[in-house]
Amino acid sequence: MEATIEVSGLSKRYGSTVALDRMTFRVTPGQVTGFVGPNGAGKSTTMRILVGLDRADAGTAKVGDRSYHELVRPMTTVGTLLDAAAIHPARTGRNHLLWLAQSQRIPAGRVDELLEEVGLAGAARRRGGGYSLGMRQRLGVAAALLGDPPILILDEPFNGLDPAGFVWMRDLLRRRAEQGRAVLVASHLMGELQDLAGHVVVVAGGRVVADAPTRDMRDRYGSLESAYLELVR
Amino acid sequence: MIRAELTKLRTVRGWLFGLTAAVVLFVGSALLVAAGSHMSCGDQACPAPPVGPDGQAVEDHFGFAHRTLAGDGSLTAHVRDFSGIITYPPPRHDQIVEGLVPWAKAGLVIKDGTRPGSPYAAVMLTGSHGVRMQHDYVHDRAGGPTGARWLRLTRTGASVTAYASLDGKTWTTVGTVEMSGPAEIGFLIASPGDITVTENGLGGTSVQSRFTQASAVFDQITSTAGGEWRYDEVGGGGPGADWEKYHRPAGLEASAGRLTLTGSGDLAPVSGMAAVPYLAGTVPALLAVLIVAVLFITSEFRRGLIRTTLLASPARGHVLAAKAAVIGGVTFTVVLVAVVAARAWSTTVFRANGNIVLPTGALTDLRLAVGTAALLAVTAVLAYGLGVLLRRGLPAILLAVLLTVVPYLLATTSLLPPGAGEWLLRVTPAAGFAVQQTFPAYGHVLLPYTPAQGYFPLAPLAGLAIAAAWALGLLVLAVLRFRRADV
Amino acid sequence: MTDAAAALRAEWTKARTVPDLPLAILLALVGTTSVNVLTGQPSAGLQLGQAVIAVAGVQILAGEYSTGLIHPTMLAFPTRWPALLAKAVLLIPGAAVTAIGNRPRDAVYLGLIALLGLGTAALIRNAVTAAGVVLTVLFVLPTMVRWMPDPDWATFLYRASPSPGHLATTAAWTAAALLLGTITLLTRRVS
Repeated sequence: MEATIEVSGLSKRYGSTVALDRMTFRVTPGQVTGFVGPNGAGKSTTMRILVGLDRADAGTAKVGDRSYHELVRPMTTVGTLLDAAAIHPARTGRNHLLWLAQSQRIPAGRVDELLEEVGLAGAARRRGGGYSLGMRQRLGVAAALLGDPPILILDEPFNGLDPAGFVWMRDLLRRRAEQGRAVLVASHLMGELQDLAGHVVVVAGGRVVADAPTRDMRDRYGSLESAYLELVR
Repeated sequence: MIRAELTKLRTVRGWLFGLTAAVVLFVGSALLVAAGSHMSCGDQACPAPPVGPDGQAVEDHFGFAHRTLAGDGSLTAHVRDFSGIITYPPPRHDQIVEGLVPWAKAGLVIKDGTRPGSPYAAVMLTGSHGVRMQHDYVHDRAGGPTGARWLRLTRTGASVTAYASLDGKTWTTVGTVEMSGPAEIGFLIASPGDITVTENGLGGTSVQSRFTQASAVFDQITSTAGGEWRYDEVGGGGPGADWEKYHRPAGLEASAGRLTLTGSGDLAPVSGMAAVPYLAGTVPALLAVLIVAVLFITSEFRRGLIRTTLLASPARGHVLAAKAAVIGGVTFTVVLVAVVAARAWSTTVFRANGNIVLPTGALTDLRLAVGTAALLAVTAVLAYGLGVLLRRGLPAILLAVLLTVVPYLLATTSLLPPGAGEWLLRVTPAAGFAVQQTFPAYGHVLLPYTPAQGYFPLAPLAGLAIAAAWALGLLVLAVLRFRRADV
Repeated sequence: MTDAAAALRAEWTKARTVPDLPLAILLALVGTTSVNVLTGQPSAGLQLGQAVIAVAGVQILAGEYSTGLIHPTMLAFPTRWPALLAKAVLLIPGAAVTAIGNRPRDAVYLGLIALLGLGTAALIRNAVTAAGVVLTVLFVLPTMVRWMPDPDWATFLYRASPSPGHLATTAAWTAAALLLGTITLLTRRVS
């Protein structure tokens, strides 16, 4: 299996609102791909369709040559962070990861490993209701990494993180990409993506308006931010 | 603040849907019940029961031996013998036995003619409740010495006074009532059906009435009214029971200063839950209202909207009170509309199917409509209070249903022994259903006055007050807790 | 099948790591038993028990929609049915435990009621509304029986209500709710 994401001709309407209009792009392994666009451009919908939470009206969304719902032990192929981790307020962070691990037949030892890696080891036995946004974000990342997947899909991973968290997240994503994984990161933080992403997909109004290496964008527009402002205008 | 909460309520489509569902369920259930009720008596419409002087439907069926009473006058007699039969009583329902039902009646009566439903005043010996004075169907009082067999009825001017005596010499007044105009005076015999309640196999009970007959011998008669004793079976004229055909017909026998009067029937108010179908949708509508009331508050907690609300109006007690007022007020209004619509519409259908709508009186109608709206409003506030207290929707809706609908269900079906069911309807918020009692319970009419038949252990307003106390108590508790809580 | 086994294990961990389900079962058990003892009527306690069990059945799924937990669940099981199946399998013994002291058929009944809650939650998703609908089916239909003047209608309504006496009717309600709920869960978008 090749660690790629392939979105092809994806369309989706909600009533009279067009959410996606033949969205097409490809995410290749070995680099972080930035996924940018204004609010309502279709980023989240695309990601939700990629992981089977929404159904597309037309087109295909494949992760590693397959639809998400065809995957066996899907979280070992794709790690996903959509909103900050949804956790039952009464369940501890560790137990949250434990049931997820069991659902994918991942050994429980992996849970403690990951809690250590995302810096939640100290809070692992506290109830989720008491977690800050940053802690829930770290828990969500832990859930995404649980199956050691070759593909990562992350929506606004920097949300709620403190400055140290930014550095940690940046390193984590860069390292995963260098390991040959496909990493799709939706974000509004142009400065972050300019340093982190090797490739950028810019969307507006449900369709792709630019799909190019970050370096090309920067060369042409001066910075990713200027490129974004120019492209989605 | 109330306006803001009102806007919140009406701008969530699901809640509007819930309130609409409450109306549709209320009206729909009433229509369903009305459409399912059919009554026919041969080819023609069933005769409506006569209406008594106080406006309610009455049974006026008894054996009457009478003379015309022009002005003042009196009638005195000794009840020499009072006996009867009861057909197929429990437990085995296999034979006809000698005996009198508790409210079998033999006595003296002054009545405004023989038209069923006309006013009367009477003094009588009863099967097992001693001497009574009764008038105009709904009024009853005990009196006279225990064991008295002598009865006297006197009219002076516009008052009729009843007396009873052990020996025909010393008389005790039983009571006096007002009654003037031309009248018939004479003897009455009546014997209401023998009532038993059985489980109907549908989780409820059904009431059965079996034929009884009473017979009384009057002697030592002194009457100021002259002429023959004429016999009429007031309100009668049916085919008669087998017993009457083959054993002893109803009627009057006169011989040597003795009158023997035999007959069945009763002089009593008529009631029946099925006669008022428009409240059938109360519980379905209540469930819909409970859901909306719980969601109205718990969705704020769940989505963190409560923080926005409190930023807009930091006085927490006021916020909660405003929300309670809105959910209560809106429920009241919506349900009131539903009751009025259900009443108008279902009564038309009900009548068109040949059913008889018993008159209930304007005050009762008003109480039923406003009371039902208030009951649902109070229950909505209660559910809302539970929502504030528990902050989570599921425990709140569960507890609301366990406190209101489940006690009502247990008490009105045969799942609990009757005593336990009535206890539930005194202490739980389901006590509020008492406001829906349509007909009063009468001590002198032997009927199963159970919740299953639409009779509640508390007076209408007392029951509603219990429910309101629950709602208020929970609300106060919720406010106290919420004021100090982190949101 | 391995998916189903993994789902069962995961759901078991979920169920035992928050107090909701154990608390509900405990409440149902204590409530049912104490009402039974107080009234001497085994069927009276069941009325209380079934309300709690029905809501527990709703909670196990609809609660995930309220907390947003449905997302990770669906990401773990994109085919969705293993999670639903695992929840159903977990609920049945939990519900049946409540009927200790009642007749064995009451245990079956409570199992069906728990699944009725689960199916309704899959269909309606909003926890409070789903619970309200299930409680309506359980309690409102029986209260309507006594209003029905026509004995045929009354009998029909009585027979059409889920009740410990009518396991077949109850099973039909449960099957309908599970069928519609499963179709909805498998085809509709996740909140």
